[in-house]
Amino acid sequence: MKLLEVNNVKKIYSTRFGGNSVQALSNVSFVVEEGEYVAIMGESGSGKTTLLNILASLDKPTSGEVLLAGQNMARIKEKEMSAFRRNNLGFVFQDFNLLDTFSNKDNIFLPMVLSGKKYDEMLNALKPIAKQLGINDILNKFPYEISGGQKQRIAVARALITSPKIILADEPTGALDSRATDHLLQAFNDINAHGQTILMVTHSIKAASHASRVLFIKDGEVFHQIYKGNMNNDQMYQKITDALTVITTGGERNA
Amino acid sequence: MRKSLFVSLAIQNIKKNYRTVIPYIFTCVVTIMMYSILMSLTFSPFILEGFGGATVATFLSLGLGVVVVFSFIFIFYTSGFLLKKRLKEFGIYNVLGLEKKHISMIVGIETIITSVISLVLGLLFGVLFSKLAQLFLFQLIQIDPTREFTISLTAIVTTIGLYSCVFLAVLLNTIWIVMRSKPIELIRQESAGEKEPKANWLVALMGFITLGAAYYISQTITDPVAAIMYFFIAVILVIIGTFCLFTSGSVVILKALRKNKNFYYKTKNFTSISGMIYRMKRNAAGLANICLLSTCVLVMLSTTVSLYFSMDDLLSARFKRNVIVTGIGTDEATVIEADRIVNDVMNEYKVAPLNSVQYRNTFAAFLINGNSFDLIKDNPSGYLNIIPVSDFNRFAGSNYTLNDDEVIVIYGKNNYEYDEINILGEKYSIKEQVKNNDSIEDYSYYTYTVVTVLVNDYYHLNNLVRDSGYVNERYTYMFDLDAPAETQINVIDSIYQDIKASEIMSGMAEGQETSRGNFMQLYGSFLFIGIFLGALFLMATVLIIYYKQLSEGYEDAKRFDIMKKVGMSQKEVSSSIRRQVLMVFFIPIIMAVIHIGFAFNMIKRVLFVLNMHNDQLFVICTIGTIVIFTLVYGIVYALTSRTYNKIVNSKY
Repeated sequence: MKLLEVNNVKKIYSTRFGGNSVQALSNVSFVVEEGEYVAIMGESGSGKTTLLNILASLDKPTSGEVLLAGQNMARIKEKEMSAFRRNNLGFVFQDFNLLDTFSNKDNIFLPMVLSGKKYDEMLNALKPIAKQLGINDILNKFPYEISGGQKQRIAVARALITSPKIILADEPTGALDSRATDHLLQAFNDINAHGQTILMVTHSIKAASHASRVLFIKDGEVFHQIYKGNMNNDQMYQKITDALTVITTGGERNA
Repeated sequence: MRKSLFVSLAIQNIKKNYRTVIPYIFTCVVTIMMYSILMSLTFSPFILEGFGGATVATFLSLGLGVVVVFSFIFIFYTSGFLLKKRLKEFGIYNVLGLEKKHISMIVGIETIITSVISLVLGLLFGVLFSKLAQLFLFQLIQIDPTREFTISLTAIVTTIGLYSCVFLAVLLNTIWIVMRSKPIELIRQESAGEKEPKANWLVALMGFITLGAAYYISQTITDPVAAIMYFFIAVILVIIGTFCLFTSGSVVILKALRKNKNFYYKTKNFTSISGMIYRMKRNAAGLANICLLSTCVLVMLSTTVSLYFSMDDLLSARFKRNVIVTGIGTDEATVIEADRIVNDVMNEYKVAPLNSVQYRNTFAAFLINGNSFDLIKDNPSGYLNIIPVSDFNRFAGSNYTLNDDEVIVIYGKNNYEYDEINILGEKYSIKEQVKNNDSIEDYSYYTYTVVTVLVNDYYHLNNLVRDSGYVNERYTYMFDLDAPAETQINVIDSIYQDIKASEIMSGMAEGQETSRGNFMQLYGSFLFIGIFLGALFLMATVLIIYYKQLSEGYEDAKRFDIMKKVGMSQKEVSSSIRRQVLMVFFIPIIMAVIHIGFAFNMIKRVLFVLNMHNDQLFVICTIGTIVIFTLVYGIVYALTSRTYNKIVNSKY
């Protein structure tokens, strides 16, 4: 089933007085099926972050549409937007974005508290997630007391707790060392195996090689894509490397 | 070449940090202005040469001292606070290759620029507003306000000298902070996060106990003189209690709230409580300061205003009649001579005494034991006031007759509780008790016991009590005059001159009109200083809050951005901000009002000593000051929260 549909999305940033305008996305279309694990790759300035912001409903496309489970995100009213984001989207950021004023547990509870859920309900939702991510020991600590890898797992738990339709991850391994990266990617694979749809924007070939499909963006368009199929991580890694070499050196549009 | 680079960097920095620099310069300008105004008033020849000018000058110089100490602490503290906020910026300079001595140079130039601007503007406004302040003060103490006003050169020189010293200290402190800092570490520290404050039960408990003790003292005290003594103890207890409660009590309470799961995990409480715990850690001392400053302003203004407005009450409480002539001694010669002098002066001015009261009395100290008045051993525990019944009958129009072993007790607030009275072994039965009709002094508000008795054989008792060691014999002749104030003053003056010239008697003459000037000077300068310092403290309060909000704003911007990303709506963000800002703003002032509420009884007693018995006026003045103060505070809140909102809602 199609979970996320991106149809001909275009985004043009213009300066306040309409002087210069910059085209961040020219024409992006793709579909994410339910249960898929998609990585989006691209160089700096290719429009990855713009795309993610649009998917996260933090930004609106100039033209084109984004449908989540058949619902056009542009049609959602401003005051329902936060609730929609809370209930349907889970976010994982490069710099974790945990609040030092909350314990790890409360950080995870934040979206549920904002939705007005009962404490028992939150606790029940947390149990399986905490077990899966192996964070039971650090729940009562504070973000400044734990390592980067642990912080990111707390952030993942926060994204998962509302059982969102899709997880949007922005460079989730960007601030992690290699061991923590392995842990996190393993965790992503686990939650994906449980049926969670994940869309990840990344620079890291290693991270992308764990995904079931990789989309390449260049100059504001989907330039190429690779399905993992039956490849193992190393084969996928090689394939992505080759593709990136072609994109950066070849330069001309072929696909 | 390089020097000009530093200067332009310094100017650039000042421009860039306008949000903090402008209020800082404003504070300096206002303190300098206030100092120079007070200074030129203190040295104003018109005040010194005026009647009772010494009193005014004393109060002004007292205020001057407070302004000096306060402005030094405040300017020093604020500049240090602002500099520490910029250490990260210095770290970047450091990385870019500027050495610490270069950074000190830049910051030093900044300090010099802001100091010079402050001094120039401060003096300018000082000179401009001196005239206004003088008019205001002269109005309050009722000196002819049309007199020429010259700006005292001494005042200007002293101001420049003093504040140059203050700014020099600031400059040295600035260089010291820069030299001591390790900016590179500061850059890295940024993301380290801040530890949650520990809830210290012991300190919180101490806060509750000290504050409770202060409140208890204030509530239970009845004795005005003791009230003055205990007032300072209570003030110290309140200061300790306030600091303890703000630093630890607040965290203890917030953490207890956090433990209550059903309360804590509610959308509106969740972010506020956790945010407040951190806010309190950083702001507790500042909020406690704000609370104490506000309390100080409120006490100062409410007391000085009510004293000023009850001036007529105070005058008539102090002087029962327009003219009071007192002769020392109760012998016949003194009485006759005093009456003669008064009559002569009356004839001279062609006026007649109205409501006259003439009586002899003896005031003697005793050791009081129940109803027994004995010889003093160490200190007297009370006094006996003896008046001949014949004198009393004359001015009260009554017709009491007494035997030699009988007395009549004149009581004020309460009845005398015994049937007989024992004076140095002689028994007197109390024939009757009569309420004081306000012609003779009412001692019932005094701290020590005074029993006023009317007796038949005055001279016998007078001789008897002379043994008690402390005896005051007086002949009082007081009356009202239906004449303009000027005539009254002249009458009093003439009587006084005649008494001085008399070889038969000694004594004095005084009255409401001759003392009105003194009272005006005293309470007028009281009020002037009250308003002056009140304004200064209010400004300090406002500035502390402004800086707190500003520095909080930059940190909160990041937090609220995260919350928005996680799914908090703009409306929820705004309401959460409003809740927290509101709490930070109004907790100190609510606490200050509670302090005032509990202090009310004690201050009332202290005012008793100053003859101010008008509780109602004091209540009105207190409530009035609270309302005005809260209004000003509310305006500041509105302005501050706008800036804060702007910062928080802008992308950090």
